[in-house]
Amino acid sequence: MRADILVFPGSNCDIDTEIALKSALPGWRVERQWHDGADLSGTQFCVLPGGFAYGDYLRAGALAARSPAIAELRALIGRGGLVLGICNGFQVLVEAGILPGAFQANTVQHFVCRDVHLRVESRGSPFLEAFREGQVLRLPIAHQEGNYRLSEDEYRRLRDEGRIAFTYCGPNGEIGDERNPNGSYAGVAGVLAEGGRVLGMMPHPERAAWPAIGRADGLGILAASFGSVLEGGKL
Amino acid sequence: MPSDVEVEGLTPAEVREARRRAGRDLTALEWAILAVQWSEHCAYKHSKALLRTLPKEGAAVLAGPGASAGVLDLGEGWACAAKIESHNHPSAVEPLQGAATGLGGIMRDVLAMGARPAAFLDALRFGPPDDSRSAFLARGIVAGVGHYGNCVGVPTVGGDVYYHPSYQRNPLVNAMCVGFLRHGEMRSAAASGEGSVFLLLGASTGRDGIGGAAFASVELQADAAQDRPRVQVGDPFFGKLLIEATLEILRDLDVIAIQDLGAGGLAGAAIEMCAQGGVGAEIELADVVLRSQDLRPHEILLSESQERMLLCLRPEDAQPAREVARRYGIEAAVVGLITRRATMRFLYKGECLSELPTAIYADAPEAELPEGHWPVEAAGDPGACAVRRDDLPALLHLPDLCDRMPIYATFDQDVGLRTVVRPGLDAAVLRAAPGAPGVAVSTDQNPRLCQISPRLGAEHAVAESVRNVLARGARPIGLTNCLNLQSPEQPLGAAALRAVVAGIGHAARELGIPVTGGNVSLYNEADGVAIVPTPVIGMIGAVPDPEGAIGVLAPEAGLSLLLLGDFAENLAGSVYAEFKGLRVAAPPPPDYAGLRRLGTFVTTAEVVEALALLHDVADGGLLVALAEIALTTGLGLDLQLPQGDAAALFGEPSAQFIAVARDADVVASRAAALGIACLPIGRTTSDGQFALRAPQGDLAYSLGELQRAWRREA
Repeated sequence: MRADILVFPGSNCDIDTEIALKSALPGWRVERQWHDGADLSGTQFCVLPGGFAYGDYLRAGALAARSPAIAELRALIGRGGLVLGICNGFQVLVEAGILPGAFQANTVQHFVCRDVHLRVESRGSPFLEAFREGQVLRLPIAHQEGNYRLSEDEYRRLRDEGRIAFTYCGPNGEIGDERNPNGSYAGVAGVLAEGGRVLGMMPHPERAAWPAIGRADGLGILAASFGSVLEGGKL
Repeated sequence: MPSDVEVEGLTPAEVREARRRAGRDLTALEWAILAVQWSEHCAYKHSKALLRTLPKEGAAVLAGPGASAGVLDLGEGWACAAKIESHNHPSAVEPLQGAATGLGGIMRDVLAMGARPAAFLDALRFGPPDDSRSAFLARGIVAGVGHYGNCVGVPTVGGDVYYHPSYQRNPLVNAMCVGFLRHGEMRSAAASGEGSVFLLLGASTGRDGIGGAAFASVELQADAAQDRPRVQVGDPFFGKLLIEATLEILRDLDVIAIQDLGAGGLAGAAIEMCAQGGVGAEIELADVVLRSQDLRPHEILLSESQERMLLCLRPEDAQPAREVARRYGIEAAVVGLITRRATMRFLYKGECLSELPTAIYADAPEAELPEGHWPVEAAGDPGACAVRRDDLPALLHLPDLCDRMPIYATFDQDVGLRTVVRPGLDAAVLRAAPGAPGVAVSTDQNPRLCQISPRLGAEHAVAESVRNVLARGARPIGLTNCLNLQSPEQPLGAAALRAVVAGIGHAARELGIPVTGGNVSLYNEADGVAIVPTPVIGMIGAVPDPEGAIGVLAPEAGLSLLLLGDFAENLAGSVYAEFKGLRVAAPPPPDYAGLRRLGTFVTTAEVVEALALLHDVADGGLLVALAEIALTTGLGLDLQLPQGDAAALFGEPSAQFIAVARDADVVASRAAALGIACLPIGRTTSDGQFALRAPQGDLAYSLGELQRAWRREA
């Protein structure tokens, strides 16, 4: 079983993600692949890590979304592989049109790094099978352009299809503007592509995969439930 | 040949000395190089003799002063590289880029030791926050720290901020970088091997920052905005690529020596690397990759374009190194050749522009410090006053004591997975890797004390930084220092320089902590106003098991609170005395014996296990320290104290801690065994109240009230 992390110039959570995946997925071959010349043909799971791909010049994720590696990524998705975009990786997936919506600067107009609470809104994904619907997770965010924009119609459609993965909330699951760290539409913190095998999320599960220091809520996301997806190792 | 050329930054005596050493007059290019190499910024000519008096021996020291950064052993084959450096004048002129390039510069120093940069700490000093110029500079500087650190992928885990009128036009940006490496990975800057090559790696070379070191070595002028072209521009995206390419080259190739390009650009790096190795070099300036083709040779040589490293390699390793650079999309070019003869030859398209012995540039003559005396207020007692209920919220509302989270929240504190205790109280804790040993780190200095007495202020800066790492159960193993002072050519500046070095040296010896290097920033004066002497200490404490360090897991309600160490005798040197307008009085020197006892205590494994949190009493005194525990944990505190006078509540002792204990008996018995006063003072609660009972009267606040003051919402 192989998990690959796509590394763009300026990615800076790629090594973190590698370390976290190795601990979350014992027995897996976990590798970082430089975007230029990346080969995902033997991969079951690909992560687009956080960071500042191409310095986030132009728009966050915009240049990376034009990398040749994105064609590889689309092929992996076509084969039913799992894809997780974290923070900048989520922005790349949106810029590539793999996930809906768009990003703007946080409403506070500056970078925000802190722990937030997330409410699990769906179980329609291997990334979410470890959780109960409505379960509250605590994960850190660290971004400047995390204000996720959806039209009302898009939001309704995603919600109806069970494709809203997470919503920012309070410690007891309460939703509201004061719980929304960046102004995202309806407090959406993560969304799924159709079929649930592609997840984009602004919070960093790899930074919360560490039970020894009391930060473990991201483990269930990284150790996605591969059993149902990869039955017979067909991928 | 002009007989008395004026060279910017050099005294007539230095000009004569240079001519004497060369045995001839120097060319314009040579004077330009020399002005940088002999500047205070590069040559430490006013401070070198004093700095030699600092203790540098220590069991953990793997590399000390003279290396790009100090390196300390952490055990299990791990080591940590750390250094602090100022970027004050550029930040006064262009705050965002000034601060950003300050981070970049110190990061590359750590990288040059072979370490992966793992964390930044920033000691920032601003003018009063209600002054519009100060507020503008503060905003820009904080934004610059975030701009560089967040993007380059190195978390900011600590630092400190103080406001004082003397920093109004001359803010201070002292950036510290901490990196981790395995023992065998350590590199030096000493070039060697005839026929080895110099490879210039990183960004292309442009016309930015020319003369930056000379700029740093004079007072800021009223028309400082004209100096903007001397400020370098950093590109954290490029810096990130440079880190990865450099570490890959260091890992895969046999790199002989490496140094970053800072002050004096290519000339500075090449001269220093050759001087350290006792060799010379031939540098071909036409081989440098340029950003604009019209750069003249002296500009190529002295450009301070950021994000560049100079590597000394065997010739056969140049091509593989260039291959790595190509993959990362950064420049790499062979620009020179090492020669056995210790002579620096600079060529342009084969034509020799200059040839001088390496040592002429490298060994700058030391400058005499004038005699001088800093007027010291007598140690004493500023008197007392009755404690009022409003005192605590008022103190928490002060710019020097209020919540720092709004600043930290704009920095990525976690990237790299090494931050196990984030910034907030005392010291942050980093692990070299999951499961590996690590460090607790802190920067400290208190302008109020340094103004009363630079010597005492320096001693207390060391004491405070020691307390901060002790609060995490760490053992202090080394410190780096950044001395920000006024002109040493004036008696007062010379006195301050002597005093702070003496103070750091004394405190370091008393506590057995080696000084592993640092930086001196002189000429911090603007419009005739000098800054308060500001010796910033960056402390490294070793933590064998960072994941089990004190404060990793949040404390809960129902735990015991214990007071360790003795109460302050009076209000000397305290925020409270200043706030109440009491007479200024110098505090006693730090209680070194008390700190040594507490050091033994908190590094005992059973004590670390028994403690949920430990916080030192510092600025604002005991009551502020207790409030900080409540405010950062969100827990209520139910307290009773045997003393409730102003000195006990707001005095600032140098060896007092508050412990939140999971096992109070273990804490009390270990403290008793070491002769440390240990007093049970209450419990943590979940009722949201901060309540204190004392003989002089009771005080009670809701956490919400304290929070509004601390966050300056009221």
